[in-house]
Amino acid sequence: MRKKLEKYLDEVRDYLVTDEDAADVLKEIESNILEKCQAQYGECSDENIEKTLATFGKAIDVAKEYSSGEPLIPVFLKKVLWFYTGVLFLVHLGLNGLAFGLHSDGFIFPFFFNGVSGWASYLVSIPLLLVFDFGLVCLLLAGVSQLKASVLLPLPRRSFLRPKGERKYNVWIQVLLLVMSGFFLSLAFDPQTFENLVKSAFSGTDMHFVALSDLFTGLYIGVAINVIVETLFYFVGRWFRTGFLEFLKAVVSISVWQYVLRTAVPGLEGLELLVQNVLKGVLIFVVVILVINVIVMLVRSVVREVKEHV
Amino acid sequence: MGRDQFESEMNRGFLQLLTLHLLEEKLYGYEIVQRMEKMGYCIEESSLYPLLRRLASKGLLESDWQVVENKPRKYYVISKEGKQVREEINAVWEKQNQILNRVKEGAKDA
Repeated sequence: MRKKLEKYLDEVRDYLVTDEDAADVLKEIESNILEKCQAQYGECSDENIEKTLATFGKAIDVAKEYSSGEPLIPVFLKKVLWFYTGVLFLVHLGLNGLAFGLHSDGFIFPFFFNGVSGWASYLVSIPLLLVFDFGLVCLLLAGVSQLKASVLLPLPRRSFLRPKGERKYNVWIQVLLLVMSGFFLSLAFDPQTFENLVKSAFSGTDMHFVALSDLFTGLYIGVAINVIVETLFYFVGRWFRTGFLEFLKAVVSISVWQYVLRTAVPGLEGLELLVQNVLKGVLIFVVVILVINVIVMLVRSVVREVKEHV
Repeated sequence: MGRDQFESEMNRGFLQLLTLHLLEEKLYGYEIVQRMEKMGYCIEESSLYPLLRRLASKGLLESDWQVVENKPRKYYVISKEGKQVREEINAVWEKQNQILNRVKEGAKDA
């Protein structure tokens, strides 16, 4: 009896979010539907109730109208959400890249990345990192919103993002860079090297053991990868300020060169260790500066809020 | 903004005032819909019923369940506080009407 109505009310219950007595809300909705059905058709059969429900609105819409409370993340935090996710993703991606390039799974923040065993798994990890970072920022913003904290979250977009008027980009420069990288890769082409690269990607073998036949092959591959890196950064530079990008690019380039030279020229263990330590030192320094900056910005925001309320 | 959205935003305030006027008398949800329809004002039930609850939770309406012809019905009526708020909203409404009329007359003169 009245199965359609029960199903409809169950659906409303599933979506209903209210501080009021949910049972009372559902009883009222049921009563309103039955009143309407009785008035329009004289008898509340399953068929007539179905007709009434069709004009009453979808269960999800009815639940939405009856629901109350604050949204999980307010609309005004949308820019903060994207900005924080973007910055966290870049840092995360960079650390993962360095961990991969330097064969150091415990690089600075062991909890900050998935174990990367081959370049294919590094590529696969990119969307995972994005989803993780987005979820983490959502969780933090939801926490801030639910606590009703009135702290202004810092949004230093001007330090990182280019204003719209400055966004100059030439597609021909991008094409030229890609052609250059292709040229150097073709000079370094060696079937055995590429076979080993593909094998290492899927077997998880350390790329350290991929043999680059000689110094020239290593140099060509180093130049090619660096031109590819330049191409990527040129593209990303449409949106980001160059100072920030130049630093990231320098770190990636040093990592590429130390890897290529180490692989192509045996006996450079000392150089490898030196480069690894220098990069770790630079990164620790940058991360410490960034963390201090974020703390200072947060404290300033809190002080400003407190001053306004006192 | 489309015409429908504009109308729905205008209706939101008007519906609250109209409901406060109609509920001088004790009525249940569907009865209010029918009264409004008779006056030529068609309203989506999904907007009216939650509004009744919101007004009741603010103390502007009083409500109670009654069983009529073996069916439970929730009746609403305006509270003392609701009457006071209604008078204040009426004054705002009249002032807005006067301003609008003055602007319209000014537009005609110009």
